[in-house]
Amino acid sequence: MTETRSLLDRLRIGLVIEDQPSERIDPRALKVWRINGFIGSVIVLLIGIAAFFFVDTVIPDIPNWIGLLALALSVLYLPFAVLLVPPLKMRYWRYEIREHEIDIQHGIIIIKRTLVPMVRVQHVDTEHGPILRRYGLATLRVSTAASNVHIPALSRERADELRGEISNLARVSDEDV
Amino acid sequence: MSEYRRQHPLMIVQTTIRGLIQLIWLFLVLFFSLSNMEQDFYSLYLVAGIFVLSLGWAVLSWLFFTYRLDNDSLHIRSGVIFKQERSIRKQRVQSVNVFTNILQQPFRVSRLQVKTAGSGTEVEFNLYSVKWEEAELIKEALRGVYDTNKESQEPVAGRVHSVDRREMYIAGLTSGRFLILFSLLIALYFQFAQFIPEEYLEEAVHQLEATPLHLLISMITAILVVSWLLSTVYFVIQYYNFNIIREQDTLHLSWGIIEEKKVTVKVERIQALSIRESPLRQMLGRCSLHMELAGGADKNQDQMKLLCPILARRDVDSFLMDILPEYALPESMISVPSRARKRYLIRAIIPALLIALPLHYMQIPYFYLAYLLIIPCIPLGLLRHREAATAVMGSHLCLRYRYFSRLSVLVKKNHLQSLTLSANPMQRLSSLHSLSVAVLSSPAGVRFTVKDVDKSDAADIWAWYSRYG
Repeated sequence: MTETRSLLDRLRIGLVIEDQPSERIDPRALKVWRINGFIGSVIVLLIGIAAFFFVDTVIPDIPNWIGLLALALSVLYLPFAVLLVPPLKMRYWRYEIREHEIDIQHGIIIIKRTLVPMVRVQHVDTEHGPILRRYGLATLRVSTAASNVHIPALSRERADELRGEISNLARVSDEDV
Repeated sequence: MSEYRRQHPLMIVQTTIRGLIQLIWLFLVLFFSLSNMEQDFYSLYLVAGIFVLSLGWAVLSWLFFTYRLDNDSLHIRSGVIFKQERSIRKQRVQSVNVFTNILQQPFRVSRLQVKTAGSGTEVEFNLYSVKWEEAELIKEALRGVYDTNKESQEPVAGRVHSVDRREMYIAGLTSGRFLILFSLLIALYFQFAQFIPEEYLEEAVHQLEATPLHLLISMITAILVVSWLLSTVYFVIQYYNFNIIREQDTLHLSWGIIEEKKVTVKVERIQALSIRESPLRQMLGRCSLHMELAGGADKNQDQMKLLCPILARRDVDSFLMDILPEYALPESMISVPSRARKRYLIRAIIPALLIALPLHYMQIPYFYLAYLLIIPCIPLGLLRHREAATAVMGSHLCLRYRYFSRLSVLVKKNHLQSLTLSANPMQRLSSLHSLSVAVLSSPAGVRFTVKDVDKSDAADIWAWYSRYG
């Protein structure tokens, strides 16, 4: 019993991420991600059903285990996309915008951390689809010449503010390099 | 050169040929669909008509294509129906390249290609046939602006690197292109094998006192040798007489017999330098140098990115010192830790399993042979692990890793567009991070990644890159 606990502890300590960027995503994002996940899983479910009937009608002779498997997977996708992924995403999404650089961390299983210096920023956009708009949120997208990063689901005001801030800072950095 | 001038009339021939090549599918359709005599007659007319039209169009294009060079720009007027006028300011020119194909050589004309910054399709301007002297003149003129102190214009000895013939043959033999040709020829062989009458084969078997299997094996060996030789000859012809000249802030590269190419690269366009050692070349202690370039997208991207087709590994240092002192190899590198070895091994073996397991499942005869694929994967994985390394020296980052070829990438800090560390739970448990950098390279960016770097080494690179490190 003690051994399993120490294993769990070791796992917990091993998986901890130190000195993460300071700011989190707006908590309303959770809801948006759940809705998106739900819409996505409905589509996946429809595809699963279609696959099931397709295999069923085209090759009726063999036991339809491929179709069943597709159906089962598409059914399981729903709790995965709605219940599991959004909180994990929320937990790991962090960002920090400093005078000279943008520091972003995100991921569900693989945690990625990206550093973009302000000097390298080419342009900044904010964008929002119908669901984000409904909750007063927006996505901030930062592009460099070779890559781009985004911060999803910021409050609209915060996104606009950051956009202005980054484009100002990027301009200032341009001058001194 | 102050008034508008036309190009060499050879352009008419070139445009006609290009036009006809574009219409080749039409000819093929005609050829295959109309087979009886009467229609053949008409299709002959049609072909002749198309030819005349192409020629006429080419003449008109030539007539209406004029250019003029003045103090600070090159102006081009073109278009038969839709007129186009373009001015390229000298300051915006990124590079001027000269290509001479075999048709142009007897006429002493070349294609002059002017590239400007940007990534769209509008970044490239071509003068399809200009006299050599004039090409040089335009090249000089467009370059004039950024070389203000022109006194030391002629290349200083030691700043020139030529690839000698022997090295070129080694490069050709080890280019690895024979694999492509080989698979092509094999495919062709099996396509046509069915048309070879049985008797011939039987006769051959009888004559050579060989079994069909022997015949097959010797056929395949012959194809391998032929494709190796052909690809070597092709490579040597393509890159024959490869010269690299460093002149202040510009590199001049030239190569080729059948098509002579002269390429200029402003050093500031170089975003990263990579040293590539394919397994064959590594065995012979050779490597090739490639650059990632900003601006000026091109169809022949790979060729434009080549800095040196072959170089002895031990000469890289002195080569860089002469030609590209902006970059240098690190004296020592930090390897990935030994605890990453099993991850590298697993990663190497997975592709072999992905091939073998489905075959096993389907019970294809001799499926167990597929498991033999795992054997070469083990040393490959070990090699990848041993060679993966990072190094920071001053303002440069060096990443070394292998997929099949070993790649050492040198990037300046201010050319790194972003730095990413990523880790999955297994990596986090063993304090490892994959480190990847984004570098600008036309038309899109490229990423270079070293997997399973020690956490503290990764943090050091992060701190080096961060302004707050």
